[in-house]
Amino acid sequence: MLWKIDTQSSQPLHEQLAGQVRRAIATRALVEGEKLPPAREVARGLGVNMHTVLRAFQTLRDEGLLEVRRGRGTSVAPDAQPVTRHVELARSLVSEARRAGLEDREILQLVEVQL
Amino acid sequence: MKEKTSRSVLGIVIPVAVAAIGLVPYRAYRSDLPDRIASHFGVSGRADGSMTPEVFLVIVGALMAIGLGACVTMGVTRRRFQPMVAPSVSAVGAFFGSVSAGILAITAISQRGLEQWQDATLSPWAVIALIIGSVALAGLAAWIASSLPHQRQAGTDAAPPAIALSPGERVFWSATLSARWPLVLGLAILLVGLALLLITELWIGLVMLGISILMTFFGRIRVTADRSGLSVRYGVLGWPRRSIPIRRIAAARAVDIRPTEWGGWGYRGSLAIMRRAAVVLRAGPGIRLDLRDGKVFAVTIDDPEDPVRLLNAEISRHAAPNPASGRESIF
Repeated sequence: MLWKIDTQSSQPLHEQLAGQVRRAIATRALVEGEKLPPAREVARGLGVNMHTVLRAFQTLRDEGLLEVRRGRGTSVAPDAQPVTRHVELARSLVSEARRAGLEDREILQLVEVQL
Repeated sequence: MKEKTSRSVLGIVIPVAVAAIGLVPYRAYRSDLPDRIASHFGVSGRADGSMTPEVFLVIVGALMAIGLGACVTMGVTRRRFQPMVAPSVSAVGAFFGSVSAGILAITAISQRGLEQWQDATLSPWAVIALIIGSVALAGLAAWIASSLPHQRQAGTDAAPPAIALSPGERVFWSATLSARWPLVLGLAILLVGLALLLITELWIGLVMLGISILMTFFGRIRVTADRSGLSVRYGVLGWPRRSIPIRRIAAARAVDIRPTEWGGWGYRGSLAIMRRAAVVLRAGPGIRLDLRDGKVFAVTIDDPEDPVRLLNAEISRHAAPNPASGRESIF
């Protein structure tokens, strides 16, 4: 899979890394049981601290997306559910915003200013 | 080396020199040889087979002619082959030509003046020197042949695609590819090796054991691409590792790798000797790197588009470093 981070973004690097993995699972770029490259290599490849990568892996393990096994590396959990909460939230955002009387163009602006 | 020089060295100089090494001593010492000469030796180095010098010359000379003929053909022909054909054929031809010539020379020199063929002995050092010399000559022939014009491979004309990267963005790509044939083949060789260990000499079994371990390296490869370049790690241990630094790469492309065009399966060719090398686990998609010095490296992997676009982006970033990179944005 392709890992991409932006060192100039305001989003913390470990969150960006975790997001990359969640995205890869959702797009099936990573499938259940697939092994991730060692944290050390991801860190070296991206020029970040290894603990930043491990922290992202830890978060994802707590979410049930990854399995971290000592000596056997990190892999996608066999029952990993793709993260889709943002899609549901977007649906409720649109309906709430419409209830508040916003037009479609204004809803897009509302999202844009949050980026 | 100019093409004309390459053709002359490969097609004329090497064959004539090798033939001379074999035929000159044989002709010079012909009258000093016994009626029958030793033509086969046991492991101890003692002769255990014989033939007349004429028959020996015809048989070994024919093998030499076939080998050297292959070099001559590759040097002289104007036909363009697939890239790895001329180097491979020249290497095999030069090797067999050189071994045959060496056998003629060693036979003539070591058996002149003997009363009878049973007195002949063969020094293991002569055999080792012959093999080392022939391998070196095969490498030289392959290196020269690799500079000759060859067929262009499909898909290498298109401009290499790249992703857009902002100065602060960093990318890393990793994927694995597994194949079953090296493990099956490795297991088969292992079993044959174990059987041979029981019935023949120890070293044959050990060599087979070594080959079967080498085969397992090709059961799984992991390919990574980042700002430092491309790496291929072999086997479950990820060792050994082959890396191509970004500064050596001129362009990366996603290509369809056909084993017949790259010399087969496994690690094919050699960047140093044949100017081309490929890691081939199966037919299908792969990454092709055109290096700055004209050499070509390829590796099979699924979905090669991402790493190819990543590498091309890093190549241009490496060539023209952005002054803003690594500095914090003021926004």
